Amino acid sequence: MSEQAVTEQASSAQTQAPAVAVKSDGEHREPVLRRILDRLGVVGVIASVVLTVIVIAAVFAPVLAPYDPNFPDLMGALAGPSADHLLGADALGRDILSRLMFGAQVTLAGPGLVILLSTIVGTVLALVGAWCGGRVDAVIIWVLDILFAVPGIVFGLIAVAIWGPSLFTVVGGLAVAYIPYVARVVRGAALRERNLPYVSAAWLQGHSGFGITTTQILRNVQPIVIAQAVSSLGFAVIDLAAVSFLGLGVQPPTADLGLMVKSGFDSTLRGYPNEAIASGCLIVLIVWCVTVIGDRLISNARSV
Amino acid sequence: MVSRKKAAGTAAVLTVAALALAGCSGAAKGGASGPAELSLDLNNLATTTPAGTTPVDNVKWNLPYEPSSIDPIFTWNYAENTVDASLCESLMRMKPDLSQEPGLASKVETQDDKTVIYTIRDGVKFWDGKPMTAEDVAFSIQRQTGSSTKSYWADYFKNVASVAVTGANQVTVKLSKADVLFTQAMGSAAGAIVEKAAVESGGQAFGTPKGNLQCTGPYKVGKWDSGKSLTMERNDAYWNTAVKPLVKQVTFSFIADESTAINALRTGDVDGQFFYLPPAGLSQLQKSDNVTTTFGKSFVFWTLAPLNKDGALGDEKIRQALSLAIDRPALTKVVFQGAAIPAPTIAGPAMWGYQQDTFAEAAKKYGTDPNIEKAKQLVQEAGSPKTPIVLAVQGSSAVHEQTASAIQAAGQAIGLNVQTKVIPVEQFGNIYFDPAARKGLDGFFTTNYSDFADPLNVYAFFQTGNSHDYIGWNTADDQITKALATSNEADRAKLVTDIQDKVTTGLPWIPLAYEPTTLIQNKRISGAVPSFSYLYAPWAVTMGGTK
Amino acid sequence: MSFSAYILKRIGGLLLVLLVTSFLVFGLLYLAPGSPLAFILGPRGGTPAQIAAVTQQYHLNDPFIVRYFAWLGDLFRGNLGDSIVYRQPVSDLLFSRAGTTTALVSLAAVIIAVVGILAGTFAALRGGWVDQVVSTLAAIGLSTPVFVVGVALISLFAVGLGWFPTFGVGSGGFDTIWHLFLPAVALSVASAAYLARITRTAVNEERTREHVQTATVRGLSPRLIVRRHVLRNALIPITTVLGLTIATLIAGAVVVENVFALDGLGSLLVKAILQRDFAVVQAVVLVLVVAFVVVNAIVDVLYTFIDPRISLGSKQ
Repeated sequence: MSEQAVTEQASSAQTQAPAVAVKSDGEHREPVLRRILDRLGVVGVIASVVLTVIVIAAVFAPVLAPYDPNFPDLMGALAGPSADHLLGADALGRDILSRLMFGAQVTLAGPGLVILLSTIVGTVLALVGAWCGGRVDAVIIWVLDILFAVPGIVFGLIAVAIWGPSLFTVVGGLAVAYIPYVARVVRGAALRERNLPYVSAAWLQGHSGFGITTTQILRNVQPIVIAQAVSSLGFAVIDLAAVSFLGLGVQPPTADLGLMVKSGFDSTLRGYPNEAIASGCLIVLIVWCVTVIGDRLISNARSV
Repeated sequence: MVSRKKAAGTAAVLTVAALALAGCSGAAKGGASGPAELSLDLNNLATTTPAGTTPVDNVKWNLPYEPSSIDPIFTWNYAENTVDASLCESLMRMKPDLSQEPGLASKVETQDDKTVIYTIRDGVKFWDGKPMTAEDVAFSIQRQTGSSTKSYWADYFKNVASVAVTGANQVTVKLSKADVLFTQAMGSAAGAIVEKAAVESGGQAFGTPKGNLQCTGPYKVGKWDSGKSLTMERNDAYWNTAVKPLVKQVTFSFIADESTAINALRTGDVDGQFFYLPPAGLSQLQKSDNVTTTFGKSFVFWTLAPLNKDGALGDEKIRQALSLAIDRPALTKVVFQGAAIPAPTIAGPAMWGYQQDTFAEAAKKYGTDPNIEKAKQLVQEAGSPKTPIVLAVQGSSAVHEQTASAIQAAGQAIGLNVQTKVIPVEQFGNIYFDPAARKGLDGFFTTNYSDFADPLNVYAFFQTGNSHDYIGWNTADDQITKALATSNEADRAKLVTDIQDKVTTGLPWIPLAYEPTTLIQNKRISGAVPSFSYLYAPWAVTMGGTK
Repeated sequence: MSFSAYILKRIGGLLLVLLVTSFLVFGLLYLAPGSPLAFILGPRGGTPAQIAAVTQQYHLNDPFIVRYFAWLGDLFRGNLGDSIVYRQPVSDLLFSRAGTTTALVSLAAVIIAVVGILAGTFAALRGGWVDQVVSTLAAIGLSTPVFVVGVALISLFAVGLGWFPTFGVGSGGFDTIWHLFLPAVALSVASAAYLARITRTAVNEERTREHVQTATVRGLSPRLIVRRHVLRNALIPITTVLGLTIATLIAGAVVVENVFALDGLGSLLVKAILQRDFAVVQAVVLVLVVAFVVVNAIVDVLYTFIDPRISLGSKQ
């Protein structure tokens, strides 16, 4: 949770300098693989492959998972890894592998939703502010400043205080918390775009104000927005897992990685660490993959 | 906080994340079979532990949460009572074997069913040195009567018509109608005596970290550092000079998270704790060289309470079917790690405080073996309802979750759709007294108990109008009313077994297990009272060092 | 901008933010379902007379605006209201817990600064495998949630090896540092990893600057160059990140306090949320906001000391 602010601050500080103007990809005619490798680097490619595998396992969990993730078998509780249960069973005798696959669904979809919502709202706010300027911009900046003044996870907790613990409550709260970070980056980029000759040219040609903003500016700030979104995803995964770990987010019996770490630690205490290791590792792996890819995307967006 | 019947704190912990960090690839090793079983003799639960022999300066004791008040009228739950038991004494005293003896009242006479005369013990002093008077006793009872009392114990005082000082050492309580529970309740915290002057000068703050509690017990309040710890100091001017506690000071911590508590016990950061449900790390504790685990005789029982009259569990046949489908012996073995007794009835043998033979004879007809065929048949007779049965499960409690899973499986086996809804531990208590909190729920799990050795205390829950009567079950109203007014124990036992029969058939609550108290003590100390009396009588006075 | 004008401006901004957040939080909590009545009345539910008395005592029936302004008025008199659950003034509850959180965050900040800057500088100056190791560790550290680290630390060092206590804050002084060490480490892992990265980048960037190259050509000792030219200039991005990190640690403490069973503001907040003890929720949120804003302001002031070219209040 803590690095969110930091990354944004640092990145926005740096994006002040070079104008982000994406050249059309038409000039490049290298093989696709070569280009991907150039963009992501070896580590980035590894991260992408691993993440793809995890996403496929999560999306197709209903087909791929060997067991119903919520079906308890108390007599088979805390079984070690075996041919039946590749990663063993948890304290309620549920198959850990199946729960990991279904848990990854929640752990990816929840933060995905957070980022999607905050990116849309943040981008719209920033574009409106950058375009309209004046009083509208001032109000938007003021609102963003107030949002900045409340630490991210606290938004999630306030939402829980009001609507009670659930995945959607926390997603809503976190989405609000992530808005200013997106908005700040987009606003900076949009302001520079606005002052570029091609925008005024388009204006002169009779395009409407907002039309220009949306089509041209949006297209040109798109790489930085996407890069921003991907790298924020890692923080959202951590935040959401933390809230679930506290018992305020996803509610059992739904499989969720944060919850699995929590229940896994109980089993660990009884001498059965499978669940804790498996779920803890998977969270770290997901966040690592997302962060690596996000980092590469950000440096690409800046350097292009 | 809140409901006395709140269950275990949280959970969590650990030896592993370290491994997780070190190498994410490694597959975990796990036991080949299920959890280890404990060795304990459930028919012979402890009432004492070997007395301590050497003086100890300080013992660190953990509570499952911080008490919200230690004014006895608000002590209606595990943590509050664990503390107050050593501070405030009652008119009657619960002995470690769960029977009662005279406490601050040296004598109790009942003139007729409606008049109780307490003779106040001579020479009892409050911590501030002032003698306890009949005035203080009358005041302590009086403040819990009437419709505007704040006392959590008011149920026991609802039939009190008047309280009067009738002699230098005598207080007379007149009841508006006979109530056999009132006299017995005086052995719980409901009968605790506080200093009148201290209550009056303390006002709202009395019993809070800022308020000046005044009682007569062998320990007195030291420092209460809100959020951190509560310390009680030995009362060296204790009136009962025969009692000489070896422990000078007990410091209570408030670790709510069960796993953190277990870790603290294993490493010796905390010296002891009472658990009302077996903690998840029980087998680890038993293996530990640092602590001794004692299972004590207790009134606590584990039960499924239906909440919704109009839902599937509102149907008696469905309740019977579900009850028949539950494999209680397996439940106690797996969920409670063997530290529980399968319960055929709500009130267990520990509550048979009188006429044991009558109760034992009556209990013979109930069993705990599941009967799936009969259960299926009952479901069919009830029209095989398809509406889901939603059970409230307390968050971060392994026992809750696992019991719910077992019942889910049982329901599935007989064609009932059982679902669970997790309620955070802090809000779970609302289910007991807030109808709004029960919305959408068909049942919930509760660790409940009687305050003294009389099954009637529990069966009276099912009298119409009682706050525990959630589904308006009224089949035994007449017998309950009659039993409450029957002071003759033989007659009462007969009535109570009748009530028990109706309750066990009609199942306004579905019995699951009887729970011994789990006492954990560091090996450097011994002597704490392991039985249920730790909630109402000084359990630390026999405690001391072992070296 | 003069120093006092700057301070005035920041205080004005802070008050405005507080007013808006308090209004929003108060309003949202007011709309929230669920009443604290159950907690006050206890397990029996209460008679109508009791309910009426309590409702009046806590002003539960007054209109929202009336209650908000009553609360605001009390706030100006230094009264944060009473906790319904604890039957105590909220300020007492906050006071006894703020120390723990402050100590925890301070200790974590020291660890972050020391480890982050040292590791980052070391990686940049040494390069090669040292750089690789630091970068890899930083990447893993950044990806590991605080609660996973916390749980690993407890199991290894508190339960497994018994080197550290498993809970609580100790009795002050060194004992408290000893008690808070593991929680502070858990809280600082991700931030230290991030600071190491930033430091590494900043140092590398400074080394390629013209004046550094000139100094190198002039044959100044590498040690002197690093100290006088590289590190000094790299301090600006490092301070930015460190300051922002510390501000966010305050929120991170919520999780750590729960993992390590510490009685700080974060664990108080989580409990109060679940118990619908709104006076406490409101107060803790405001304290967190104040702390967050104040730390940010301090970072701003620090810039001017590190680099006199930066003037106070400039939106650099």
